[in-house]
Amino acid sequence: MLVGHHPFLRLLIKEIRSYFLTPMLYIIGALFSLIIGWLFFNYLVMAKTPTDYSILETVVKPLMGNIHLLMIFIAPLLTMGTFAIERRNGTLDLLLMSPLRHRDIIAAKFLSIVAIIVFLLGLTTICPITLYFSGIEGMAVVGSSYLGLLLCASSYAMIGIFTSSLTDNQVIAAMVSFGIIILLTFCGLVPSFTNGQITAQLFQYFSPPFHLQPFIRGAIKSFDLLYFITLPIYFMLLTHLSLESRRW
Amino acid sequence: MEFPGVVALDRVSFCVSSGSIHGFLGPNGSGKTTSINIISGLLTPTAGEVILAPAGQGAKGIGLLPETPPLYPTMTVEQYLQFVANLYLTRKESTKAVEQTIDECGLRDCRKRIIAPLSKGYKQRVGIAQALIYSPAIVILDEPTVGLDPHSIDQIRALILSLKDRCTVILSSHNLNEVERLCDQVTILNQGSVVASGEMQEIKQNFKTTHQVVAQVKQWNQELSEELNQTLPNCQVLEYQQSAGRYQVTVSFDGSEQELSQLSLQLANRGQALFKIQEEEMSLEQIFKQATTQSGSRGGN
Repeated sequence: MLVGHHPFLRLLIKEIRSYFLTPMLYIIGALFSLIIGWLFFNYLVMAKTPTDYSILETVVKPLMGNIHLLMIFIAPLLTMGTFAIERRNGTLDLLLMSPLRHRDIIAAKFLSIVAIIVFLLGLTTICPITLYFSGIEGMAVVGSSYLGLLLCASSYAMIGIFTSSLTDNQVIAAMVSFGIIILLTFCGLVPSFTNGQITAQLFQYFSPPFHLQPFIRGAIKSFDLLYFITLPIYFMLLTHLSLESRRW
Repeated sequence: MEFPGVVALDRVSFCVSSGSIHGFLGPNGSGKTTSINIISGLLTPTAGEVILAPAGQGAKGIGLLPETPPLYPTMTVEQYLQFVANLYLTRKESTKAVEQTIDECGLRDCRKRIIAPLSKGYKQRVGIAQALIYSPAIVILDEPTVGLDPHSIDQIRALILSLKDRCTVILSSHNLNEVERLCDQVTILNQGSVVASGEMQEIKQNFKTTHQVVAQVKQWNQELSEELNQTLPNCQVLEYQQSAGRYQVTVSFDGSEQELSQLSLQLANRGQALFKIQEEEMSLEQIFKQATTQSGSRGGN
């Protein structure tokens, strides 16, 4: 239904184009590539020292962990303007008055950010490709790691889109989304502070890194997939409510 | 319409004739923007309804130019209009609509230019263009000429006049001369209530409590004013002043035809010669001031 909706496609194309026409994406992309490249080089240098661990353990897994860490910062930066700028320019009303439904607008914004995340993650694939051509095996783990990272970063992006729909101030939107992501991440540390098994598991379940870890280990579980599907859907519903509340 | 603790609009009811230009007036904070947002479907009223004709047209049939034009500053004028047209029309229709609207709104010179550095006048034109591009049945323009130079104002006014009969225009403006020149009908809001609504002439008649005539006579003085006041008790000389060898006398009277004929005779006799006599019409500005100060309390008329 969505794909066939012509105005939806026009909005999606406009959104993706607007990201590629602003310098912010290229600045973020350059810094991101620089940091990941430098980390990859360092992990490779350290991997020269003989250990019991494979190169997947010493290079790929820590690298994926660092990509995730950077995504915690990048997702709020990418999404802070999604609705905040529209509100400031008055163009949100233009979209809300158009034949586009609220869910179309949210979906177009979300999918455009997912496309940007794919682009950013694509920049880092040079690292595993180098390993592949060096004869390192176990590329399936790399694939599952990227899938996990895409799902995790998309969830963070949807949190950012939600906070952006609450205000016309981009800085506030970025800070609030960063706060929510950090709060969810820290939920994974609760088991260290409590003896309650159920409480620990409950809090852990809310933590995105807890669900990302199996992907980085090469295990794709329905339990984790469900989490990364429901988290963005939950924030999509909240964004829908936020847009709807403008009419109240 | 109720916001927490505030009744923004109270029993607002008015009709807008199809194909007319309807002036929407009111002091700051009177509820104009809230009304516009309700009509355009951006706000849901806590009570009441907006009935749009033709039936079923819905909010999608409304083109809106808010006070600040909704623009994407990084797009070119053409890209922006194409994007808006694509939201409503098919690709073929939208290409045609873009060309037509660019010509209509005088944007041909800047169609390939980025919106951000355009002058305020051009941005306003682009804003109007986006409201017209999909040929909506109703166009709402909120302060379309504010901040524009006189040439641009004339062009925008001509454009608004050209919309008459093609669509219904609701024009919100603080420029009362503009509303008086462009609009057939007017609604005046004050403190969230309608204080006057209807045809312009009808409203002028309703608000006419005292009639005034301005006469040019050869001779006039204070003594003649007092004599006229005594002879015609319903008449009151308000002022007289000399200019270019003639006297201009302003007299208020009760408005009857009989009184007016007696008054003209008296002015001719006492003033030695009557060169000109004209009944003064109340301006929209006077009506606006009267309407928005009379109805200090909610309800109006």
